[in-house]
Amino acid sequence: MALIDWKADMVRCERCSNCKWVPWQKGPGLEFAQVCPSISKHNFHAYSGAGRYHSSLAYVTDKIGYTEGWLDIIYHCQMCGACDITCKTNRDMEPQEMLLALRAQCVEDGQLVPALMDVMEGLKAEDNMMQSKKADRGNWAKGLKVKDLTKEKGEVLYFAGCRISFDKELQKVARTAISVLKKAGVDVGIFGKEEACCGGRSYEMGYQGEIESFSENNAAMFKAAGIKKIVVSCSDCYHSFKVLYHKIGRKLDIEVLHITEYIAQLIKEGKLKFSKSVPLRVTYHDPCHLGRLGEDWIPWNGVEKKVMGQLVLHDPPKVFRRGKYGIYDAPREILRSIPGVKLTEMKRIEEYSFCCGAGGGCIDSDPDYSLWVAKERITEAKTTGAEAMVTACGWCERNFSDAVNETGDALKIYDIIELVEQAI
Amino acid sequence: MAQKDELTKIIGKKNVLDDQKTLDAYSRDESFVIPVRPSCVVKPTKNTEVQALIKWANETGTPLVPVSSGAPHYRGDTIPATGGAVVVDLSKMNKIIRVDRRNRVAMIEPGVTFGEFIAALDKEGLAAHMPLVPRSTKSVVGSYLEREPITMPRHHWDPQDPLLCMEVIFGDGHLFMTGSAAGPGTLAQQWENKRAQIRPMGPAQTDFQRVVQGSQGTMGIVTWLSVKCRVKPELKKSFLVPAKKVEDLLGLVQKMQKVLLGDDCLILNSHNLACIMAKDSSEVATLKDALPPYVLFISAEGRGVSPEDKVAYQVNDIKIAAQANGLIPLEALPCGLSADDVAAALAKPSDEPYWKNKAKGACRDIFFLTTIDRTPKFVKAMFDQAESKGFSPNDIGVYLQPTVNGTSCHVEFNLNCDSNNKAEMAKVKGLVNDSLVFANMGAFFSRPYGSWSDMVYRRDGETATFLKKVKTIFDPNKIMNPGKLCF
Amino acid sequence: MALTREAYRALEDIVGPENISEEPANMAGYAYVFMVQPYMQSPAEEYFMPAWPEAALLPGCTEEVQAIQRVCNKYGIKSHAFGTGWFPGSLAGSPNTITLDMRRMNRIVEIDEKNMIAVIEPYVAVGQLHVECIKKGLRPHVIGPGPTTSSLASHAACCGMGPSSINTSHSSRNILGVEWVLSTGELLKMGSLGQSGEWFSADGPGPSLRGIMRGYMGSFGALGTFTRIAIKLYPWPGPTKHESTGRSPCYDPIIPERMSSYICSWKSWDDMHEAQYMITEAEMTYSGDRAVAAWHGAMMTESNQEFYELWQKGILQKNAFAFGIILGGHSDGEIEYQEKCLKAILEKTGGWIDEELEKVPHAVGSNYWWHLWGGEIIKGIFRGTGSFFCAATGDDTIDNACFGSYLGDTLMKPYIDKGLFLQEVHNVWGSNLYEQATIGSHHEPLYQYDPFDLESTKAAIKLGFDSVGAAITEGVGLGFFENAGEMAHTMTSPHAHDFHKYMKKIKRVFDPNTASDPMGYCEPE
Repeated sequence: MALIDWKADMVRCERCSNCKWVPWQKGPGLEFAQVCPSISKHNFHAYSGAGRYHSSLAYVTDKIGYTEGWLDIIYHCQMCGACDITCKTNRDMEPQEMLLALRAQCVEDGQLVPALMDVMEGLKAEDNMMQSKKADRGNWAKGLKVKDLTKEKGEVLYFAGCRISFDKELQKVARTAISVLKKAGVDVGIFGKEEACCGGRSYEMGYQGEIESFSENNAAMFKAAGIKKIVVSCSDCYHSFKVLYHKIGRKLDIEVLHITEYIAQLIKEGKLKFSKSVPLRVTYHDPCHLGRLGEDWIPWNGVEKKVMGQLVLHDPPKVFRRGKYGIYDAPREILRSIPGVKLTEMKRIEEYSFCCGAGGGCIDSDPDYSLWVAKERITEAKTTGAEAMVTACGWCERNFSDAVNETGDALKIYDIIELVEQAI
Repeated sequence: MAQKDELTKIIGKKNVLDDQKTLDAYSRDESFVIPVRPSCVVKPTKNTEVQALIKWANETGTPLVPVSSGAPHYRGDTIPATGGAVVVDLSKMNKIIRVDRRNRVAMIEPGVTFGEFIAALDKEGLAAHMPLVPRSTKSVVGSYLEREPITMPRHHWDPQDPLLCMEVIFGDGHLFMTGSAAGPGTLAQQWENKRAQIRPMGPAQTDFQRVVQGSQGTMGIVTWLSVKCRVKPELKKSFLVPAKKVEDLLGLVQKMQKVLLGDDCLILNSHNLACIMAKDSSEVATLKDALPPYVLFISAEGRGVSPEDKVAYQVNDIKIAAQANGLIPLEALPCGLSADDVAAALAKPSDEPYWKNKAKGACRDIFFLTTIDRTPKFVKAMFDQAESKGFSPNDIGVYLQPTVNGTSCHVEFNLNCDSNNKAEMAKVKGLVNDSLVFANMGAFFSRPYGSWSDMVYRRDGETATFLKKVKTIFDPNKIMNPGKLCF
Repeated sequence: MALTREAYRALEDIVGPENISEEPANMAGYAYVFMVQPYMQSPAEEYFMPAWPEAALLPGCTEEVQAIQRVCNKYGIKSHAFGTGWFPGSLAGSPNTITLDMRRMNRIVEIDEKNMIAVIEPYVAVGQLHVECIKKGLRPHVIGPGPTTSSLASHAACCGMGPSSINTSHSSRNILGVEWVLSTGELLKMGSLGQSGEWFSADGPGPSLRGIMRGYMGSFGALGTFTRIAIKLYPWPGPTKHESTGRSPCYDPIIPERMSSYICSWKSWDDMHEAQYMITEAEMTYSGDRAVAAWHGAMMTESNQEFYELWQKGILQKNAFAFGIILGGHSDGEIEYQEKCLKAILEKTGGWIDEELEKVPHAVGSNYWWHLWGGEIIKGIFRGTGSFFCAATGDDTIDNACFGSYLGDTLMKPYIDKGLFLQEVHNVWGSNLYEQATIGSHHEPLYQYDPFDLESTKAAIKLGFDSVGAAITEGVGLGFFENAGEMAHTMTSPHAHDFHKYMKKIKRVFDPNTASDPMGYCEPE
């Protein structure tokens, strides 16, 4: 839907400000009560979900035009979905969809951010979001004995994603994942250097056309290799395959699993057993795209209708994605099942988790802002008394690691698979 | 003579007094305020007369000094500060306009005394919110306008309580009604529409009544008030909690306020309790000797659909709270004084002589606000002050009254004295006028009578500045009780 | 008219470049809120305030606010303080105005457990304060707009009723101390704060400046900016932390020991109001107020669709005259007393607790959240159509609220019959019984309109205007829309002793250069 199609939501946003806060029923007090990174940093109302509704309303009613300031507001947003879910604890509205439409409108109108343009050029040229050479994509797997699914058939694909493939410090995540899966007896394979971007991050940056070709290409590769199950460590990829592909009409006829879901399943099936203690006080950070944004896409094609005078309904009835069915339990089940690990929760968790800061292109367009958000989260993590923050997404781990390196905090940052391996 | 003629035209000859005896009587009171004789005393009988008086005063530049209660007065606020003033004695405006049992509200004129008010309410099944045993001549309206505390902090939600709405004629001559009484419609129409003038706020975006309350008659003259009443309890259980020190009682007081337990809740020292309960001066000393140094008086009232249960759970919870603080609530003290007798005394005005005068014939008060936890330091300071000035500590009454649901506390020291003993009176005057020592400790003299006015407005020049601006709005010609407060 | 560069630089020097903005997209965020059209009586198709702020500033402390006001006086600019922005009165309404977004002043300065006092800054939300207070066995007054709203704004500058008013009164009555930056930039510390720096009483010495600061409605920033206030706290009978289960969008509370949540029903308003007299006389609830069927139904459902399906079952209509109650005792004896009273009152007045309604998922829980801190209001009042407005509100006796309820129904009926508002059984919300109804009962004939539907919005605008007239001619009294702003004053003041004339004097005397935006209050004399 185009930006103008969300005008009714813009007008009906009453400005309750729930988009700024952790749901009140969860009792946020004075600390860590804010759920939106953007307004937490920038403070002006326009940097909130509601504020973007209001500035967009001004735009579609010709009250304002594009300015540097408005683009700053539009792009200083992680697209993390926090405002979307907290709004939808109360309302039948779609803030995230409006934000996506707003960015798409900007791209369509040529209102671009230079840093993101560079990223997009890289994507177009090298099929990745890391401005790296496509040829280097498979380097992470050098030396690994793992099936190459571009050459042979296999049912389980491990999809590393751009961040984990190219980020040397994070390549261990993919290697460990392969190692763990193999230990569990999974006949897993990879695409290696032939793997291409899922297309999800570009979609959230406003370049919605790119995902069309990437999804088409990926779907073809999946089919050619005979894959029945895709396993990802990157939450962004997970979201793309599971949600965005479905949304754009290319629902994969393949099971999409995040590594945490698969590991939890393998533990339940008795295929993975932990024999070593990992004495560590940890807290868990819910990646946005695995958690609140990770629930299934629910297609709807209908119209708004009114009953009881002015009650707004939809025909056919529309089911809203409210973050209820995101992947929250699996990673926690894993952590709780590792001997020695003591999990203490932060205040902002699950569907009202605080973003790591890397999303929405912010890590590329304004790294300082991105790091500021990560530092906020690290401050929160430290209040739990944890020695380590565990997450389940390469983008999160990258941003948190950078933040910790900058601040000198002793907090360790782990991908969950690393603890799993230590325990086996 | 011209002045008298003009006043006579406005309110009739019999209501204009200028004989020397009357003028002398209105020129002084029991305070240390310098006597100034008014030029005339007028006794209006209705609001239109009051309005005409104010109009005349504006035209002639004559100061007006409103008085509601009968003599003796104690605060100096009804003594003219300048010559040529006309005292407006409102004692003839003494109608109880309406008692509304259903909405627990009454409307009264300024001349109504507590005795009259209590009797009228009782007939309808209501009871008044009482200040501590007011003198028999005390005007209900006067007491409430002065923000005197009531003995039941649970029912004291706001310093304004139990005052609700008012009719006031401001110093500019405008007749005004505050709160929901303002309109639309006349009072009769409002009653017809089931309104009872109980919302004090407003009208609109100003709380006019707050500007009038506590102003010592400097903003206008109030011609009626609607006031909160409570439903007469079907049963009431009272207790006396003895203690050697004030500190020992505070834990229980704070607990009761924190969980809204009980109704009456106040602390008296033996001197004040003896003065209230003794039949006469000869009994005061005997009773005082038999009393513990401090007594907390508490009660639990039962009303509504299940009064017995209401009292029962409160009594039980009070006892548990008392025990947790090492205290025992008693139905009667070992000397025989019963809590029910104290409750009865607190439910009516003072017998004669007025309890504050019972011990030595006269009394001067020092009172201010603080918080409950800070009261002990003020009690100590009072006795230290007395000692330093050679005033007998045995003649000091102490009254601690939690206010505003226990968020603040009225502290009152009653300095019993003999008005014929000049040396003693000089000491008392010194103590009253040296209240800066308390202010410097954080005491808030929210009702700045006499010499305290200079003290408080000097301490907070901004408030004085803005109050002067307020004065220009409601009394632009400064005819209302000039020379009091900061204008 | 944009700010002069000189004025802008002067303001920028105070707050720093990162805390000032003239960006139009930013200003849009400060020019929009629900109900703008009926509140401002502006055209239905105009979604924004008529005047946008020239700039928005984020002051960080009282001294900065003072300095900003001095600049405003010097350069002929007006300021308008903005808390959490849940009301048109929060927004700048006059040309040449800057918005002071108080978001950076967000500290709880103190919670004085012993004396039951909290000292707060403007951007402390009601819900945050509640959570911090219950840790000490206390709770603040909460307002209907819910936990996201500024506690300070409600107490010092805006409106002030809520579901717990039965025990926590009206915002204006809870103020114990005020730090007030006047329009001139002067700093006024009211009451004990001015005398000794302590926050326990705001009245006096002598007359109370609280009366100037606000009345039934606040001044909406027209007399300056409140930078810190002290408020009274009330007893909290529950544990030190809220617990809940479930995930978005409905979280079910774990209702604490010695607390209960009920939705009680009667067959008519008259019976319900009779019960209210008994409830308040017995002093037996933690919280209690009227539960409009559609609104309550919306609170307990996850979506409009689910609500509609519930509505079609007829359960809500059966309980159209409902009153939500929370009981809460500090002891077993107290809660037993409360339960016994409730049972007796229901028996005496023909009331009931509908088992079928209680079995609706989230019914009991949503009632609890609502009474706790105005929670679930957004589901209840906005999800259905997007906005609401009120017809002839009022505050006086319970009987008057009953009278006003019938009037409200009469006023709204023609529009509801035409399908211009949400079709309810009876839309009259409220019955916030301040202080056990000893200072009144609030009622709001509330109509939910769709701001995206021009006809619905036009109807809202018209009824909003007509209701002020009806409040006068029918004598129901003056509620909040009848009491706030120049336009309403012009209609109501002549019927209420010309209060407007004094307010205009106050505005002139306290803000001689009109350096605070008069919108929502009044123009100076």
